[in-house]
Amino acid sequence: MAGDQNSDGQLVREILAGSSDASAVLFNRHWDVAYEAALSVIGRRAQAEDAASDAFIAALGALGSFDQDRPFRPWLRRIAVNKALDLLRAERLSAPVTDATPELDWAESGSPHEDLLGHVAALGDERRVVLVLRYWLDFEPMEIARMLQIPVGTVHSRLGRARAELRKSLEVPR
Amino acid sequence: MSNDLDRRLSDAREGLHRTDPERTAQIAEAVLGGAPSRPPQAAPPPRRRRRRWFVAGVAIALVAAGAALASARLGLFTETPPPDVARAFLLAGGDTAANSPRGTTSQPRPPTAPAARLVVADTPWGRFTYWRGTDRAGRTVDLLQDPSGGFAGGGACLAFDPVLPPGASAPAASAAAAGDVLLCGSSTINPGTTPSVLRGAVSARVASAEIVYADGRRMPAFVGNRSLLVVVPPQSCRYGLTPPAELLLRDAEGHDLERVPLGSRGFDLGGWEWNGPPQCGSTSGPPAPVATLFSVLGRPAGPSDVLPAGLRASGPQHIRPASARLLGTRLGRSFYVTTARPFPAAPPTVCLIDVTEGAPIKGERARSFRFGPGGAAGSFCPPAKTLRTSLGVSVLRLGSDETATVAVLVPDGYSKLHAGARELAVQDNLIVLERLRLGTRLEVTGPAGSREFVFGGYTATLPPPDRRVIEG
Repeated sequence: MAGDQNSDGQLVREILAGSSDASAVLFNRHWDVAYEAALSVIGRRAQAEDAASDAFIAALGALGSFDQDRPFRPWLRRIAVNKALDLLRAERLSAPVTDATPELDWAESGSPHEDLLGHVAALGDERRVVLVLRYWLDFEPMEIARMLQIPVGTVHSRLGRARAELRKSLEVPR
Repeated sequence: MSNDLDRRLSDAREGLHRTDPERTAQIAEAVLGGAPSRPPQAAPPPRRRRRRWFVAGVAIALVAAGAALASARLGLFTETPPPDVARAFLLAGGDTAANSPRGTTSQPRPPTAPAARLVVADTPWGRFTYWRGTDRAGRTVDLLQDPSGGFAGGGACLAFDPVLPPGASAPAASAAAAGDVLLCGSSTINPGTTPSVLRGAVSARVASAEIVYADGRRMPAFVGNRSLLVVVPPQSCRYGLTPPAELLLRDAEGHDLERVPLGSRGFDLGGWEWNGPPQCGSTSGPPAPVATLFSVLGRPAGPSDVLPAGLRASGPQHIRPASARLLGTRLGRSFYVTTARPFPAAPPTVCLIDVTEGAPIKGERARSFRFGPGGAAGSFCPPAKTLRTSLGVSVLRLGSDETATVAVLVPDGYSKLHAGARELAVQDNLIVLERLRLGTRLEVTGPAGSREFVFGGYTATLPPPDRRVIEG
């Protein structure tokens, strides 16, 4: 596709000038990061697709305010995380129809990490989200606190508990 | 060993599911198909300047609105709509048109039937075009085309007839009597303080309207024959606007006809306000202006009073422009489904589900809107693909005696529904039950087998292979 070789900044400028081809190139180049971020937070593929799609739509609509000197990928990832967190909060507001926790289907079938992902999934939303934001998405505790609107101390304590729970379930010695 | 856990945790990320190229292409089509067809807005100007632009934009829009409306009433400006507009009008009829056994008897309209371009409102956020035409059932429909080219608004209010009981032919709005005001696209309005149908608002006498903000400032609204149009800027707080407090309707002499409280939460901005005020300064705020359309109906009451008291709106609320294209242009088969805590302890959440068969990701997208005191808009619903294989119960109207009128969404392969002693045939995967008592056992049967649940006032979504009882 035309524009495949262009930098993100160039693509953004082309999109702002009205190029839909550039939008497609940008999408294909960065969909993975949006989806991975959303899936990490939500843990369910269908919802992650929704959140990541929303993130892309939001990003494309907000390109006018995007600082083109900064990398696009982290910006998109942050939006995707926000969208995913919103989705989680909304789910919490609309209480589940059963007491059962939604099953996470985030693991690639046959992955050597499937077992560990199962243990992470079993942590429950609060601990799991903090854990993935820290370990997979590389957010600092302060940023996580801001995103989740909780004190940074709570972030640390949730991280500690999540790790302790994992150690126990994985039988990893301290 | 702690480092070992850290390393394993970090590595585990590699085990996450990846979207395959085919799926990515489907999603790209859905997302980019709904992306703005015109260039996104450049970086916004400074606050003061933007506010002036907004006020000026609205003023210009209102002048244009007045002139255009006057012309439209005379039949001028009627034209063959562009294909996308024609298609939107076609789809606005939902499946109540000729292809539906419950549909109206009107003949389908050709896709090029004339439509009136009532208003072209150029605002700092782009052009809003307000169209009036007929859906394929021949009914008059208003559509709002936002700057992205997507559609939202009054037409959508008429698009959800599937919730009507068999035999009903009028749109969902039919429960409103002549002169009532039906608020469509009003998840922005706190339903705890606003009736869904404002009885006796005498729309014919409404000559002007204003949104009154909490700090007393006022902003005019476009008044059409049967509608009020309010365009709300994105991230209102940036414009110094406090939440809207009430909708003021006036007659031609300037006398107040009705003051409609709008609640404390004000306009929801694309679902972003549910967890607090608009996120000014956030890079992830609403991407585009949000338009809210209030439809004022002047039609006689329909044969069935199913306008849900618990539902604030019968349309897709206001929809972000991009989402509007995703949802608004494909309203061929849509259902309301409620997924919420048991009522009356908590308000129902109403999901707008587009279950168009065969559609790619678009068909699996859904939006939900929370209603009731303290309710706020959300954006969660189970994916429609889940619902197609699940039992779903939409609470349409809550009774005062622990009963409710509900719509039961039945998966394919089930033809009968037993509700207590009642046995009913299922048509089009949907059946409406009136005065269903909490605790009633529902059972659907058919070639696909039998499934049952106990009505607890909330949606029961059961995975297909299971046969479980959901206690309310």
